[in-house]
This record gives sequence, C-alpha cells and structure tokens, in this order.
Amino acid sequence: MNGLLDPATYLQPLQYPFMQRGLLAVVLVSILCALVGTFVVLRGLAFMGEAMRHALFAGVVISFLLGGSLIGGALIFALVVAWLIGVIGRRQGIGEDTAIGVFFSGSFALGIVLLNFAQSGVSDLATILLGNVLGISTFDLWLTVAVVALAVLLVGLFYKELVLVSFDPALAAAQGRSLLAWDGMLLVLLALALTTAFQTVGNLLVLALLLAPAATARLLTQRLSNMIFIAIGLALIAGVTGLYIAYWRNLPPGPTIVLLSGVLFGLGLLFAPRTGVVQTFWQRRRLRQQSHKRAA
Amino acid sequence: MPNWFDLETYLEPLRLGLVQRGLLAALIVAIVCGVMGAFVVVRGLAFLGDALGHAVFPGVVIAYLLNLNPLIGGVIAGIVTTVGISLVARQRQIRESTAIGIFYTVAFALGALLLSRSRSASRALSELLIGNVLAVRPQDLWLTMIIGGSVLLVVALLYKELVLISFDPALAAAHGRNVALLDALLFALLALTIVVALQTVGNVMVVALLVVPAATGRLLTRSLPPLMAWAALIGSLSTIVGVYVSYYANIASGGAIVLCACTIFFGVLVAKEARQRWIARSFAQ
Repeated sequence: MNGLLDPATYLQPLQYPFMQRGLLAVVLVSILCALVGTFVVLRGLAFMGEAMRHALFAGVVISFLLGGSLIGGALIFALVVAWLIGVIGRRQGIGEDTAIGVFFSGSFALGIVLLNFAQSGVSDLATILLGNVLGISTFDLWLTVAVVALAVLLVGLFYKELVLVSFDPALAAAQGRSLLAWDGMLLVLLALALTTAFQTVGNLLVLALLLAPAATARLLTQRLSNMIFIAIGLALIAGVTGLYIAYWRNLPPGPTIVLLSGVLFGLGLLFAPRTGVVQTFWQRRRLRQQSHKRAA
Repeated sequence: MPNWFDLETYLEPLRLGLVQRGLLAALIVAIVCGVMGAFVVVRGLAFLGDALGHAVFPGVVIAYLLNLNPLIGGVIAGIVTTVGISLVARQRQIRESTAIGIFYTVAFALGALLLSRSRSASRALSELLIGNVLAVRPQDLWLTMIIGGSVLLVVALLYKELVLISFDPALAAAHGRNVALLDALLFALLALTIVVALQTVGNVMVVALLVVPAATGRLLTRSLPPLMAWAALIGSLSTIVGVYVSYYANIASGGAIVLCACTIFFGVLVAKEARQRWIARSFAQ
C-alpha cells in the first residue's frame, strides 16, 4: 500500500472492472438512499422500511424460484405487504406497529423456508443478508442508474407535495391533497431505494443507508433542501471511504460502509453546532456560571 | 414422506436426545416469549424487539471469538443498545424509530465485521441468523431454563408494576413508582428473552416469536393475563409443529416455527372478520 496522499493509492484499485462497477454502484446507491431517506426520516417511516426489506427478502427468493426478474419480484412483494399492513393495522385494531411486526416476520420466515428449495444462486444466505457490491452485474448497474434517475425526477417534480406530506400530513389533508396518493408515492420510492440498495449493503443493513445520513443531516440543518444535499454528501463520504477501506483491509464492503455511516452519525450527535452534546454541555455550563455570578 | 396418521411418526423423533432437548428448549422459549410478547404488543414495542434481536449480534460474536458463553455477550450488547437508543431518542430532531433503525444496523454491521475475521465465520453466521433448534446442547438447555425461569419469576413478582407502567405511565409516576427504572427493567427482561430465543429461532426471527403469538392473543382477548396464556399456548403449538416439520422436511426450524405461528394468526384473523360480518348481517335482518 502506498501513502495516503499518493493518488495512485486511490487509482490503483480502479483498474479492476469489479472495483469500477462497485464504486459506481456505491455512488449511485448513496445518492438514492440519502434522497429518499430524508423523506423517510421526516415522515417517520423507519419501521415501514424495516417491514419492506423483510418482504423484499421473500420476494427475491420467490422470484428466484419462479425464474423471474429478482428486482421486479421483490418490488411487487414489498408493495403488496405495505398495502396489507395499512389495511390490517386499521381494521382489527391491533395497531400498525404490531401489524408490521407480524407481516415482516411472516414474509421473512417464508423466504427462509423457501430458500431450502433453491438449489443454488440465492441460496447463499450471507450474500443476501450482507450484500456483495463487488459482484454487481452490468445489467444491475444500468437498472440502478434508471432507478436513481426516476427517483430524482419524481422528487424534483413533486418536491412541494412530498415536503408538505412529510412535514405536516394533517395540513396536506386539509388542503385536499390525497394523503393516500402521496404517501403511496413515498412508499414506492422507499421500495425502489431498498430494492436497489439490496445488492450493495445487503438486506440486513439496508436501513442504515436510508436512515443514518439523513438523520445526521437533520442534526446539522433545519432547511429541507440543505438536509437533502448534506445527506447525499455524508452518504457519499461513508460509501466511497467504506469501499476503499474494505478493499484495502479485505473486509466485507456492506458492513464497513454501514459502520462508517454510524460513526458519522455519532460524530453528528456529539459535535453538531446547535444540538450536539458538546455544544449543549458548554452552553449549560456558561449559563450556570452566569447565574452564579449574578447570584454573587 | 412420513405417514402423518401413524402415531409412531410422532413418537420416533422423541426417542432422540437432540429432539427432546430441542423441543424442551423451544417450549420454554415459546412460553417466555408469549409472556413478554404480551407487553411488546400492548406497548407497541415490535420495532424495539426486532432491533434488539439484531443488536445482540455483536455481543454474541465477541463472546464467540473470546470463547465465552454467547448468552452473556448478548445480554450485555442488548442492554447497551437499549440505553443508547433511549439516550439518542432524547434529541428532539431524531425520532425514536430512526434511532432504533440506525442503532441496530450499525451494531449488526459491527458484528458482521468482527465475524468476518474468524475462520469458521460463514457457518457460525447462518447458525446465529436462522437458529437451529436441533443443535441445543445440554448446558444450553440448563441456561435456557434458568434464564427463562428467572424472567418469568421477575414478571410474576412485579406484575402489577409492569402492567401499570404499560397502560398508564402517568398514573404509575403519581403512585410514586420509578417509571424509568421499571421501563429499564422491562427492556432488560426483553433483552434476556431475545438472547434465550436466539438459539431456537435465530437472530432474525426472534421478534416473530415475540409478536406473532401475542398479536393473535390480542385478537382473541383484551385483558392481559389471558393474552399471555393465549400467546404462550399458540407459541408452544407452533413450536411443536415447527420442530416436527423441520425434523422430517429438513427445513430451517426458525422459519417453520414462525410460518406456523403466522398461519394461526391469519386463521384467527379471517375467522374473526367472518364472525363480525355474520353478526352485523344478522343484526341488519
């Protein structure tokens, strides 16, 4: 390994096609997840994302067994489960939280049991769960490009509506906007992001890419447009650095990237300018000293 | 395919030590999960339970690498995670669900990285992830009994307090109960339950055993003690069916158990819906 300041250190791994594709995939997925994640964090859809990723797992296994497109099958399954959760959570009064819990455990168990019947391919559980960005195919890469373009287009076109629905659903409903349609669009975006990020960081860790950069950005700014760009920047830092570290130290890339996003979130919690632990500590201390002086 | 109408089909596996141990361990787990699951469903803690199921992972891996008992590492990691989540969720900007999502994924990533350093990683990983009820060793069974028994004992002793903080924390505080401490105790019990259930149903499906039987119980009754009883009963039933299915069909035991519990849930759901429609129609007439 050369010095960290030497450009060759960073260019040398890129001579391998798998590393080029991996880097491109990480960049695309980071942008997509940070963009969608911002709305997920604001609207509080984390648990829905959790349910969807479990449903995706069953969808991937089923479409593998039936021989269809993996991503297509996964997407359909995720959307059906999201719809069922909404229906059953409301009908029987068991609460959305519990309905989500039942559905995702059910679909995940279904996936695990069906996996027994798969002879090869997806039968490697660790790959599905932890991802393998360096094994991404050119076709999947193009699909990722298309999904990112679609997501950017949708968010760009309907920015105002999405912001309103995520910040103040009640007001949006009062203005006569259909919550079902806009929430539905958010859910579709969520399903798209989860499905695409599947390959990069794996089914188990995908939620981190959605939540961590957006939550860190939330600590740093209050403006939504800034939040989106900061989230994308943080996701790119964690993604690219994580990929290189994984390459150099021979670690699995998915968990490395996720751990780095977690570290960034932790740093945000400690050092954010207005809300950070360190800042509030100093402020409190200063206030206390001032009040002591005044008392004396 | 075995003959399902022959009694011998059901007796034969029971002569094997590993099936006896597995069944016993799984039954204990199902009962403890039923009791704790009632609290999870009533308080809407499904996501926290799920996150804890994943977050105990690094603790289990570290214990595994250090040749310690994985249960100890798991319990420590579970408690650290719960404390971390509640500290982060105090930040006004971060919702609790976001904090939960970040914490468990990062903890899991840490566990996966640590495990990737070890040689027998892949097999150990899948064992931890999906569990294997037929691989319970005698000492594991003892630990399951002791920990499961103590969880049940604590719940029985503090039943009134735990119910009070679950339904009406404000009233509990007014009664001079330390709500934060009792909450912490409940979460610690939850962590213990999850660690115990790891071996039977595995890391990724622990939450199913907590939520699904209790949710079914919730459809059947509104008060807590019968809810616990139903949940324990449904959990045990699914466990027994699951163990037999995984014995004969060589299917992952955790998956079989959870699928069975989910089938019961949907059966009850459909029956309840049909009954309500029928009653509504007879009233209309």
